[in-house]
Amino acid sequence: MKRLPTSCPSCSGSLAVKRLHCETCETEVEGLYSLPALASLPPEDQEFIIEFIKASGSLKDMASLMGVSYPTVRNRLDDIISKLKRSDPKPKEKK
Amino acid sequence: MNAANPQNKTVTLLFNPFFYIAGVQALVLGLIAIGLTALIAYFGNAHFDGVLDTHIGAAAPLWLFFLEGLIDWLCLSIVLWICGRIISRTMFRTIDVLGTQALARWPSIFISLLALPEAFSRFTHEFVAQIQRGDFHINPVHVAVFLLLAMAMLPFVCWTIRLMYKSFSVACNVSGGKAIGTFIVGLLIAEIVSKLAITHVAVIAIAQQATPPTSVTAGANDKDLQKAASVFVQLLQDGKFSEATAQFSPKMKSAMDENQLRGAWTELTSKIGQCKKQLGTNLGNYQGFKLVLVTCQFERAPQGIRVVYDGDNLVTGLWFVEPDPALVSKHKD
Repeated sequence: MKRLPTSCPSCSGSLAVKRLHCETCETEVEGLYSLPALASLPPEDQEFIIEFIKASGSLKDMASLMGVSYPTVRNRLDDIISKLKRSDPKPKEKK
Repeated sequence: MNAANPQNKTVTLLFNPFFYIAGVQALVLGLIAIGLTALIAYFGNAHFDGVLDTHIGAAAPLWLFFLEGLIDWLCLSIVLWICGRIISRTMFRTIDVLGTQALARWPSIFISLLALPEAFSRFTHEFVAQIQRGDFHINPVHVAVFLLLAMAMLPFVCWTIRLMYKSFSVACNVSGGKAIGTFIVGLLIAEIVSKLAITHVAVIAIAQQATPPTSVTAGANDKDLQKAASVFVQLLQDGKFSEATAQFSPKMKSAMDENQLRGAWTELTSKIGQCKKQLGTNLGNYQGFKLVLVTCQFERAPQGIRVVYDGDNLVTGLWFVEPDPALVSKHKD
C-alpha cells in the first residue's frame, strides 16, 4: 500500500478525502471527509503511537521495547504532541 | 520499529549516549567514572577544582579528589536543572538530569591519565615557583612535554563539554539556540559555584593536615623518626637538598623537587635568617602518618618545621609552622 499524502503537493494545504473504495465489492463512496489528526503524522510517528497504546501508555515499557532511554521516548512523545497541537490548534468546547 | 544502525549506534554512544542511557543506569555508570577519575587524579595530583578546570596542585587526601568530582557534578546538575525548569516546555525527571550529567563526565578519565606523567606536574610546579621567585629559566624539554600533554587534553575537554550539553538537551528536552545559550550561562555559573565550594573544602583539608598533633604516643620507632627528622632538617641547614629529596616518598617527589625545596628554604632564611641550632623535636600521629615537629632557632626568630612520614618512613610532607612554645621557652636566654 502506498503512503497516504496529507498535504497538497501544489499549495501544501491540508488534503481531505473525497472518495473511498471497497476492495471487496468494488463499491465507491463519494463525499467530503476530513482526515483524522493522526493521519497527518509521518508513518514512523503513527507507528510510535500504536506501539505506545499497545504498551498501555507506559513510557518505561516503550523505552525498554525500543532499546532507548526514557527521556528519548518522552521527548519523542512530546514532539508528536506538539505536531498534533499545531495541526489542530482549536481546543474542543466542553459540553 | 527499527533498531538504530550499529555503525551509527557506536557514534551515538560516544557523542550522545543519553539516547540510550539515562536515569539510574546513567547515574551508576557516571559515579563509577567520577570515582575512577578521582583515583587516577590522586596519583597525579590533578585537581578537578571547577566544572571545567583541571590543575596540577598539592598532594591531598584521596577523599578530596573524590569530593572535587562530586561537587563539580552536583553544581552543574543543579544549575542545569534550574535552567531546564525555566526554559523547557515539558516536564522532566530529576534523576535523568543527575544521571546523564554524571555520565557526561566520563572522558575526564583520559584527562586525569594525561596528567599522570611526572614531567607534566614538574613543569607546572617549576613554572609557578619561578613566577614566585621572579626568575625564569624554563627547561625546553619540560615545556615541550607540557604543551604536548595540554594539547592532548583539549579534545577530551571539548568532548566532555559536548556530552554535558547533550545531557542537558536530552534530559530537559530543550534544543536550539535558546538551549545553547542557557547551557553556556549555566556552565559559567556552575564553574563559579564549584570553584568557591572546592576552594573552601580544600582549605579545610589543608588546615586539617597542618593541625598540630593533639596526642603524642611513644612507640618503638618514634625515637628513630624524631632523629631522622632532625637529620633531615640538618641536611636543609647544610644546603644538601639533593640528599634531602632522596628521602621523599614518590608522591612528595612529584610535588616538590630539589629546586623547589631549595627555593622554599631560601625564602624562609631570607625572612628569618640562617638556622643557628635545633631546639628539639616532638612526635604526633594523624590518620596513619607520623608528624615530627622540629623546633629550630633561626637568627631572627624561632621556627617550627613539621616533617611528615608515611607508613614506609619516607618524607611525604614538609610544612613551616609555629614552633613548640615549650621548647622555645626552655632554651630562651
